[in-house]
Amino acid sequence: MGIRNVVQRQFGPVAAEYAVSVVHASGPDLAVLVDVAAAAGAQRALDVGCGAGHTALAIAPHVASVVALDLAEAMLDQARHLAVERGVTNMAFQSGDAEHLPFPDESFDLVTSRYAAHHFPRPAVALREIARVLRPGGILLLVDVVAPPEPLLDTHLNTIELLRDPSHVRDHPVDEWRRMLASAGLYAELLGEWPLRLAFAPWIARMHTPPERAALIRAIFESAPGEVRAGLAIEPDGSFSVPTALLRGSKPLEPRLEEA
Amino acid sequence: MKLVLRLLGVAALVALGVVIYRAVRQYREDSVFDLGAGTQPGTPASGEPRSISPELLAILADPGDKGPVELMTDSEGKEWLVNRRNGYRYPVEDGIPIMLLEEGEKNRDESLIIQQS
Repeated sequence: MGIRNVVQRQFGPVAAEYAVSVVHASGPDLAVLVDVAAAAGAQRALDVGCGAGHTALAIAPHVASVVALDLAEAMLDQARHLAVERGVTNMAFQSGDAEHLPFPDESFDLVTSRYAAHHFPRPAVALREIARVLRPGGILLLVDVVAPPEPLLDTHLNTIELLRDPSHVRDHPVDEWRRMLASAGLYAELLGEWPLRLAFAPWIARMHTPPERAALIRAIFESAPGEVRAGLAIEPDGSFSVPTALLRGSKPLEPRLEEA
Repeated sequence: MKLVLRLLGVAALVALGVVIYRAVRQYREDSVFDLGAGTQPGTPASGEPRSISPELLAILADPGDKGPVELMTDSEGKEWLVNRRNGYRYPVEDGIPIMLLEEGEKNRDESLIIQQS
């Protein structure tokens, strides 16, 4: 079974949890993302890894149309349900793979992806696909949990993430995202970083993590070195904080357009 | 014991016959509906018809070769997005196109390929 099937299997039974997740439905990063998206004056938008649709729903009022794309059909059902509930009519729903986007070149002014990229098996390939479907001058707004720059914290964070969620691939450090955006031909800028506090019980419950794996996460926290406990702000009940970042990747205007 | 098994076998044959008869009758009825103008057998009976939006259809491409796809309805009324270059068929589930390469390959129908001139 490939990682795509693991993602689909993982998010099938838990889709409804994400529709009501406060972490996913709001946050300072989402507010900035919406501001930047609105200022960009985008017409056609695509949200890659839309999950329950929170990001696509948030930008929908600021664009002509938004396509919400996800690998997991169960998530798309949740997203459509929320859209109907809120009377949002300029959203389309689409099952697809970030590495093989089903759109022609230069189809969108804006691509967003929030808390999804840590599931991309080959993020560099996904970024190239995103760059391909962006029109020249278009932007990607990428939000995700990022790994701290220290390898010690990086290892701990990605280990507990994988224990919690078998479909987790990797939280990348900001510098790695910058490099990957640049090699996809996008001009990378860090627009903001925020700590995200994850309360242990809902974090585990949302993903239906089995108790033995939750216990392993607690064991890792308990034996973690001081740098990790401080860096991830681990609390007695297992709640902790992770860094999140919003990056913008801008597709350069083609030379002939600049001359015109 | 043998008698019981024999009776079970006969019952199974009869049941199979009934199932085939019903399937054939259903197919004939569906075929009649296919001729009716404006009938949408794929429309769910429950609520609003969920069809793929024209805007989305206009920008959809095959995830592999990025070329255009064609909306087609099969004899059972199910909608597919078809790549006429390689016969890949992508299902439309309740109005949501499933544009995954493995789905297209799994449902490939070579008879739908149009040779490019």
